[in-house]
Amino acid sequence: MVPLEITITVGQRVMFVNNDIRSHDIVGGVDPAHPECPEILIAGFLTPGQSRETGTFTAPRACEYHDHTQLSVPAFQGRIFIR
Amino acid sequence: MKRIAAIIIALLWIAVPASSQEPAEHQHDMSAGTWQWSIEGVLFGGYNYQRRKFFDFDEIESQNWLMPSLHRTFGNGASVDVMGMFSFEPFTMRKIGSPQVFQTGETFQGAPLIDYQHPHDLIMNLGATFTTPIGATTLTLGAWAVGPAPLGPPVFMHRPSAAMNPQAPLSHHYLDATHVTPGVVSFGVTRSAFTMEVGAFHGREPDEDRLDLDTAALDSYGARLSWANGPWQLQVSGADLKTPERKSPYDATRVTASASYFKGDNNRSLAWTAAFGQNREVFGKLEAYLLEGTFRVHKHAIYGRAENAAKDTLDAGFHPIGIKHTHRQSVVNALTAGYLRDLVSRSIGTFSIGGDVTGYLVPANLEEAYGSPTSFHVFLRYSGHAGAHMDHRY
Repeated sequence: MVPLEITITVGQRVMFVNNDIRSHDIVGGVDPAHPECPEILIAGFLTPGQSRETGTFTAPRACEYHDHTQLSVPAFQGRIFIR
Repeated sequence: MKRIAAIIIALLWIAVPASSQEPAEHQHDMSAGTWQWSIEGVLFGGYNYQRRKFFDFDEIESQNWLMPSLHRTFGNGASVDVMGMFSFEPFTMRKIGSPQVFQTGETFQGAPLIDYQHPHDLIMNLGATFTTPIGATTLTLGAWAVGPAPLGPPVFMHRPSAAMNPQAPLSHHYLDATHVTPGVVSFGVTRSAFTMEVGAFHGREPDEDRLDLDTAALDSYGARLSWANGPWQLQVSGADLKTPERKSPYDATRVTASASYFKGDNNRSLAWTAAFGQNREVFGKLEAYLLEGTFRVHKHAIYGRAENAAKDTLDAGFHPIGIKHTHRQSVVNALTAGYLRDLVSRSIGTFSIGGDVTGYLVPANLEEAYGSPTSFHVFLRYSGHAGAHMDHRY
């Protein structure tokens, strides 16, 4: 995913665009057993070419995310900083 | 271009041994005590277009298989068959597989395949069976380095009802995916029209290395009861599968039932198959229904397939131990209609041209991601066989 890290301000959202040839499933947190940052779940499952925004981040914090279909691939893990 | 070259090479590889056979009358000596050989193969080469929302897929590719075998009958009626089945798909497809909307099953780069049919392994089958009659009963013992587990209907590529269709069924991993199973030991008893088979095998699906020979423990068990009489073939089967999916640490149970019909000859034939398969996993029960058929008159054939398959696409990711949530299901309906015409038929085999179109009814929870997809295939097909001992009809 590019960029792997992004900084936004409270009240903003993040658009995920799938430019790959395969589907991806965007989930907040690093542990698939304990999803975090539910705003990220709104981006969710994206087929190739599809894009969707997260929910609005309403509090400053750091939200990690991963691709639920490719947990072991660092290229599909990242972090959103909300200032 | 590499893929096109591989398709051409594979075509020649199949055609050359078939054309170099000895005369047919010499090959059909079925007397006891001698080895008879046979070889048969099918090769599709064509254009695959998957139209869908956001991003269309298209590919020039080839689905293919080659099946050599040896057969020997002994004086007491016992016989031995040594069989292999090979596919060049690791070279004639992209590593991720053949684009196919809504298809699932196996993995690529550690992630579950979605919208792709995986390439088959170079070595799909390699093993032997020993068959001996005892009175009115026939016993069969099979041992395979890679073989078909006693589970499900005949694999789609061996079904006369599916032989003209280059596309795998969406229900492949609910019905007949264990046709490529690393390590199989099976025992069968046939009496009258009934056959009961039991087997032990390795339950996990093949790995992503399509060129290697997987070896692993026999950790799964299956049984199949079948009945064959005239044009009819029925079966019910079930298996406990030890961690069948590489993305899940959990076991599963698969049950299947099917009815097949084939009647006719090379000039006129009708074949159809109806099948049901269910995967019972900790994430829920996923079911699929299939109805497919092929009607051939002389050089012309029409084929079709209707499927209803429950997919867990939205929750298809890796699941560590401890995560047992119920998966969301997306019930996909697909309808394929196709036509094939023989162009040239010679001793080396038959060359045909064909095409098909598939339409889908998309479930509500996948509408946003998929829209209303349609897929198309245009292809050349080669089928050929030579030798003495033939088991398949198409």
